[in-house]
Parts: sequence; structure tokens; C-alpha cells
Amino acid sequence: MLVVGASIAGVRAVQALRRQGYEGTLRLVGDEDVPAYRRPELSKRFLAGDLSVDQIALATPADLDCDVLLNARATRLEVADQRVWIGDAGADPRPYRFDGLVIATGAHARRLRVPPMAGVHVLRTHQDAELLRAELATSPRVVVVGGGLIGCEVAATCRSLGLAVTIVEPTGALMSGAIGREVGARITELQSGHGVDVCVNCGVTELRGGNRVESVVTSGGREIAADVVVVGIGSEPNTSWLAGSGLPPATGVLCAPNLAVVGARRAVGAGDVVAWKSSGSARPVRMEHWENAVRQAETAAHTLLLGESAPGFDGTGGLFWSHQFDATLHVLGDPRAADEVRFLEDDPGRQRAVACYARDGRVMAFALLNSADWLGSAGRLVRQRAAMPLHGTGEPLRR
Amino acid sequence: MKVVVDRSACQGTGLCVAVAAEVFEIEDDGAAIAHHELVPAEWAQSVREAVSACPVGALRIVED
Repeated sequence: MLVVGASIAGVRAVQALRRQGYEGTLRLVGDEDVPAYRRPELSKRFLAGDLSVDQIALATPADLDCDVLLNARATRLEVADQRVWIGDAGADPRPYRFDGLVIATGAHARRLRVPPMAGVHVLRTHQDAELLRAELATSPRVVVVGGGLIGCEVAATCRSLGLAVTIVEPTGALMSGAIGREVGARITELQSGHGVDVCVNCGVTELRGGNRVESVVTSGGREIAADVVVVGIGSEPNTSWLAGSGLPPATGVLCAPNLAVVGARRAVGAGDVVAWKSSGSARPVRMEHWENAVRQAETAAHTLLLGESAPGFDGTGGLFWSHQFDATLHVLGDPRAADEVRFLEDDPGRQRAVACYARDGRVMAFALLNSADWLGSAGRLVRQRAAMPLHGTGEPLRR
Repeated sequence: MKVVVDRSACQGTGLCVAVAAEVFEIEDDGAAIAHHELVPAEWAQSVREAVSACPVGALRIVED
């Protein structure tokens, strides 16, 4: 069996295959230079300088009962012959035959379409974080382009280091793509309250500078001085190696409800690269969170061992979290699937909010700001698709 | 089977509660506790999933 992609989804797939009883040859292939590490730390404590990449290691090759190839990149999938071509540490790619394949190649950070310029960063890998961290030591003025999860966490870390930070966000509220404008407004308040200059309804029209960036120009015509720019405008699945494989076109690797890869035999997908088609929904979804990768890896391994009759992945109960300053946000379920949001608790003074999201009156998701005491009951309501609680104030969800 | 929470490592991500709300809870200090150090057999599987899901490796199983 071959697992392509050696971050959380790949590592958990290897562990799940062994735990579920697979005793044959198992090879894990990753294109980074170090064994798997805890990527969520990169925008937080790792960036703040408290941790080394060893200290955020997920599992060393010795922990995993398999062959591990690092610095190795899959370049081609041959569906009919069940082979993957892999270039190992710069050597010419050679074919590896598989009886079972896990595609867990993840995603890469989307970049602005501008010529390369020093001082402009993205954050996805430990190397990205180390480059950015080195620049933060010179007390730069930081502009974060894109107020999503990564952008907000980077802004909070930089501001906590005492740096001047601006976030430029095209929608009306931070994190609105993931949690809607109503709850996003609480994140905007949180960031502003800690001295981050939050520029909402603001696109970026230009990065100015020579070899090195000097300023960011917004759609409103404002020019913001910048020594460092961090671009957090989402990610794109790592599928370029699958070009020519004949897999159906999709944003990501299209997978059936049980995570079997559509258009390939003996192949499953897990993690950020997967475009998952649940049995109920019309459109496939990509879920780019740690918890989703962990659970998809478990289901994918099961499907690989059991075959196509394996039960579907349960996508209802997902969770992601964010730490920004002293606040913790938990999001259960998928607010993007909702059409209504209702605050069951809202206490701006204590920066506490409990927001329930529903579609057709049924609970789809919760966002909990400094309200971890709600995790258990919120999770139950989401999994049960319970009726929307009627207290609090409801309003249509806006993005 | 026992489950042990390293409260100094715990970051309060809440994944353990999402996976096994019967066993784990986030306390007011933002770190998780296990209500049942000795895990009842019916929850053993979900506790194993919680250990696997924890993004900071703060949960550990001690088999009997």
C-alpha cells in the first residue's frame, strides 16, 4: 500500500491501516524535508518563536510501522496500471506499483498574482513560518492580506509580539467566509480591541516597492506602509501531479461518500486535497481542517481495506478552532451550509458569544467564542440536526 | 484502560470533547479534563479517537 502525502492525513492513514489490521508493505511518501509536524502551531506558538520544528513533530518515522520517503514527490498517477511515479530527493521519478493508494497530498497556499518581491510571505509549511519569523525579529510593520483563519491568527501573533499590524479584508467582517458576517464581526472587534488596524470591505489593488515590498494599496485608495506582507487568501489542492491521470476534473480529488476516489480503482483520498461528495449534497466540498483530516484518514483506510461497500464518511460533526490573543473560537459543523444564524448568548463585554446556525430550521453548526462549556451540547445538537433553539435573536446569514 | 490529560500541554482545542463529550470537558482555565480516568468499555473507541485527534498530543492512553 502506498500513502502519498505525509502530513496529518497521510500519517493518520498509515496508523489507521495498521490498527485496522493491514500487515503488508506500507510506504509513506512526503515532499517536505522533515517528518510530519503539527501544522496548526505554525501561525501561533511556532511563529512567536517558542517552538522548533522537532518540538511540533507529529510522529517520527520510527513511530510509524512503514517505510517513509521524505523529500519525495509524486509526479504521476497511472490509474489502469495502479502505479504512482515518485521522484525521490531530486532523482528522476520511477514507478511504484500499488494494491491500495491513499491520496493525501494536501494543499498549498494561494498567492497574489504579482511578481515576486522580498518581504511578501505565505504561511503553509515550517519553512514558510521560519522565513516569516526571521523577518519579525526586525520589528517590521506587518500587513496581512486576507482576514481568514490564517490571516487572523498571524495578525494576533504579530500583534502580541508588539508589532504594528493591519489586516486587509475584502468582505465586511473577518473570517466571514467560514463563519458569516454576524460572528465575523465579533472577531473584527476582538482584533481591533487588541490594536490591530482592521480594514474591512477592502481589496488589494497593488503591492508597491522595488525588490522589496514597501506598501499595500487598497481598493479604497489607501496606501498602507508595509515592511512585511503576509498573504492569507486560502489554499488550492495539490493535484497538479494528477494531470493526465484521467481522474474527473474537480477542485481537488473527487471522492465518493466513503472516500473512494472517483475514477480510480483501489484508491482513496483523505484531508485537504479531497473534494468530498456526500450522499446528500449536490456539490462536493473541501474541508481543510485538522479534525477532518484525522477522521477522513480513518474512513479512507477502512474503505481501502473493506472495498467499495464500505460505509460513508460522517461529515456532520466537524470541528475547527482558532486561538487569537486570549480568545478561543470553536466552530462545530459547517456554517457555510446554513441560511440563518441566531445568537443564543452574546456578551461583548466578556468577549463571549454562542451562535447557532441553521438551515430550514435545523441546526447545522455552532460558533463558540470563549464558550468551550458549550462544546458537548452544541456537538449533540449539530449531529442530531436538532430544531433551531428559539431563544435569542435570529437573522438571515450574510457573508 | 485509563486516559491521562497532560493539562500543561493542552491548548483547549476541544477536539476531545467533540469526539467524546461523555468523557472530556474544557474547564474554565481553558484546558481539558477527563471525567472518567478509568474509561468505561462503551466509550473506549471514542476515547481512542480523541487521543488520535488531539492536535497537541496532550492525551495518552494507559492500557491495563
